[in-house]
Amino acid sequence: MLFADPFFLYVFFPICTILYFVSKNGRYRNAVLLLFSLLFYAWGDLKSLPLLLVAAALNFLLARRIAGKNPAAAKAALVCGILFDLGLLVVFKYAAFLTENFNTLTGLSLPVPQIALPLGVSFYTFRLISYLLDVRWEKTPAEKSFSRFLLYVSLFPCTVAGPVVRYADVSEELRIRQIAVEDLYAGVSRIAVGLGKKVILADLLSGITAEIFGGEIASLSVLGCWYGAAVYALQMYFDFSGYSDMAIGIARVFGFSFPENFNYPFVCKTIAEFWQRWHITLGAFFRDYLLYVPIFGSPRKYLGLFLVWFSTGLWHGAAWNFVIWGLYFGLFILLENLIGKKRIKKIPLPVRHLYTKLVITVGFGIFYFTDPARLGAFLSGLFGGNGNPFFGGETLLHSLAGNAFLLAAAILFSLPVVPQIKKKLEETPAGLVVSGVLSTASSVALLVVSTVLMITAESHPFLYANF
Amino acid sequence: MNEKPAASRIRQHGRKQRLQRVLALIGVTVFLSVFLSISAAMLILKRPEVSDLEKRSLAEFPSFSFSALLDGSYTQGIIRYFTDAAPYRDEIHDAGNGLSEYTGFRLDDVKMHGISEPPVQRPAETAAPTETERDAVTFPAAPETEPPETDVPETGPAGTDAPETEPPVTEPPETEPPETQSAGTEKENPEELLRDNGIIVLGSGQSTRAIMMYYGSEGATAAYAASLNRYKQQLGSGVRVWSMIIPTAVSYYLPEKYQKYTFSQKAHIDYSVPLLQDVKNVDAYGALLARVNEPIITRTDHHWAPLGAYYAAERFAQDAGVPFAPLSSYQRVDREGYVGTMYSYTGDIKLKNNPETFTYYKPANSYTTTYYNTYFQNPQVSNLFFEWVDIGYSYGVFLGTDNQIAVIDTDSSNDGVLLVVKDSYGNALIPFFTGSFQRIIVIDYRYFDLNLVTFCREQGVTDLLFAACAFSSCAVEHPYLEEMRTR
Repeated sequence: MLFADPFFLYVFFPICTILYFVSKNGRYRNAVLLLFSLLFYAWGDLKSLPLLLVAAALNFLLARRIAGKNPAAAKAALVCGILFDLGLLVVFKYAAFLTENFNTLTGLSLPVPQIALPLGVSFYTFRLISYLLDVRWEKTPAEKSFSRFLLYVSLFPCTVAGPVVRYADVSEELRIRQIAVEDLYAGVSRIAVGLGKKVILADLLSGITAEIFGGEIASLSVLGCWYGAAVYALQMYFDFSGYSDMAIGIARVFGFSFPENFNYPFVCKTIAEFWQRWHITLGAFFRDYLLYVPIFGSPRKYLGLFLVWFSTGLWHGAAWNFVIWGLYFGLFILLENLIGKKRIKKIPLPVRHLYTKLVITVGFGIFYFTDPARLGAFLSGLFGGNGNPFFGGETLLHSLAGNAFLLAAAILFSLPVVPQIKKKLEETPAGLVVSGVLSTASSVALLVVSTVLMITAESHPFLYANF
Repeated sequence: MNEKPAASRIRQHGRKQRLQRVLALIGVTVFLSVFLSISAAMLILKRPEVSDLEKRSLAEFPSFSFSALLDGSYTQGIIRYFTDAAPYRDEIHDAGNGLSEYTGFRLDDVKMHGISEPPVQRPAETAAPTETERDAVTFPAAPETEPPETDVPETGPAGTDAPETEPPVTEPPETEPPETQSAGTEKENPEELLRDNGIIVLGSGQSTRAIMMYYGSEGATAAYAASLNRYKQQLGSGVRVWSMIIPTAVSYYLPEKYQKYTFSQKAHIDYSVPLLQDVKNVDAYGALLARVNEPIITRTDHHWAPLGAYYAAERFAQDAGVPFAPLSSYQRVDREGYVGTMYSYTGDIKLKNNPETFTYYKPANSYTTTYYNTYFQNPQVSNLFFEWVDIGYSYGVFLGTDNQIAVIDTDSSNDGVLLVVKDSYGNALIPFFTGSFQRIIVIDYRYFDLNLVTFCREQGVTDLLFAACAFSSCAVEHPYLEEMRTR
């Protein structure tokens, strides 16, 4: 079940919300949320529900042991827990990839396991790992109630995709939540914005990407290659951030404050800044649990950097293009580190913007092509290596014209223009009223238009949920 | 000194907070009113079962089973049902298609749907096969014995048991809306592959036209020709075998600058001609080329128009030397406001906003049409023209559905028996043969469960015409023709 499915939006979510608010007692409210979270998961992947329950139970028990007074037992529990959680990823996400590569390297032909990826496994394993480490580092106490812990692990707004919500982010709210009318309004507005980003922008942009990259890559003009990758970058942004907005909005309706996951990444002036604005909770996870763990002290920071970006790439998919994609960004961050912040700041601003946009665009091209031959043709085509003209092809011309307003809107909404106008407006009481009216009207319009397009278009799954 | 401004700021802040709360309350109320109204409408309003727009049955609520629950198909089925069969879904689709028009503007009144850049070097499209290629389709060793008699089941497929008595003569059989396909359970169908190559919508007003890009291969064309040669060899000199490859809009109306996005139907038709051995080619391409300024091909549908079929039928009659009635002798019927399949394929609102007139022609002579199931059982006398079909199904006015065998007995002076093996393009030809043959048998190669060679002999067929569009004949290496010959 996707957030951008009419069934979720108009059946599942309202029933859950009504039952939630009918229940006055916090414990009943948690029970409603837990029931609907498990139902949400089972609806999407019933077979994998036992795995989620076992993982939750095991991590719950191990965390209790980690928080215990026996240091040796705590350490052993931590190692067991992390091995188990990473093992889930290795077995269910990377087994086929690892076997294929092992076969290629050794010339053997071991059978490649065909294991279905359990729903949301990439996200909930990270939440579990962060919980174990936070308990170990005494950043948070171990949860004493299994039902509360299970609610944290399975909470449906963030079960199948981001943000990567840490236990410490919501531990208080798992116990007591207060919901003011402002929270409700902020929640439903955020849901409408996220829905619009996904259904109106990301899904329509996906049609452009499919047309540009769906044919023969070696036939694309230079501009065609850049255009396709730039559109794909925008599509990914609206898809990812749209989901995150909906997750944050839904959680807000139920009184949870999830961390932000995107902060207008395309305004960045360095690649490091881009990753501070893109998928923020994932970046923070790698930063806090991988880059700065004791084994990577200062002398080994480059190794840490390599490992972080290798892992970031691999986390996004079990294919080499994702690894290349991660390392590609890691390389630019390394270069920026070597140059130094002070020197970078001396570079004219337009040059810095141009540099980051070009690097990001190429990066998303790498992300798109899982087939090495097509990836090669794309990279070659970016710089005219396929012998094609700079500008050419009726498809490009018609795509640019036929989507001119869509592209303009996508660029506009990828920049923090609306928040700045809103902030300016809300400085006076009259402006506050205007802002409130416009905000409500746009939320309703986004809901209605998105609903029409959801029914009209074929279902487009959230790309986020594939990881 | 600063207490007053500070107090004022606090009061202002308090007022701002109260205002924000009021605005939030109003906002939540408005939003939830709309949201819950849509929710209630989705749950309460009647759900459609058939989409007139897409000409198919819509998803049904799935039946429960534990296996379906476990493999996720049950829950996914509910989601699909909820969206696919949403109340007023066709109207909502129209609205969505209308909204999509605002994503940009059209260059030269052209919009490309699902078209990507083709390879720089397309496979060579030679006009004629080489000697080797010709040899490759020369008769293979013919079976030394007759194909085994097909065991005709005692009863046809479920629900088609032959009646004990003759059916009434004039009542049309109860049929589903024509040309619909069940959601999710479609039989593999070459025509369903058509849209995969992309569509260009061009022009404006009554000149708006959707053109489907064509793909095909010499290999598929050669396989088609070889199959027809085998039919001819098995049927012998008593039966004339004809090949009519029907071109589509892309052959006549695609501007030069977009030609690189399609293969050439003309090249493939020409390629087929020298490969045919004692099988006669009917030059439908040439017959239509002379009439491109007339409405020979529908603008909003993937089929040709009845007028185009008339000119192709005329060419066949000339080649076959059979009588042929002039168009003036037919009764012309206009169906206004027709929007064909290209609208649902593309979602291009311009097609919906510029409907066309579907004109068909009813012969003046006498004839009786009998329909059989695909085992040639269960005769039902009915109409040749299904004139009650809704406007959106206008092409289905001929013969209704594809999945029946039709036999038309006429008062023609020619006592020959014509058997037409066709896809849906062939349907429009049939009325124009009623003056040319005393009996016309029509089968669709996708829906025929007997041995065709045996069937031809049993029915005393004198002329066997293969009439299908270029997509079916030259592009899809489908097994149907050979299956019908060898089963």
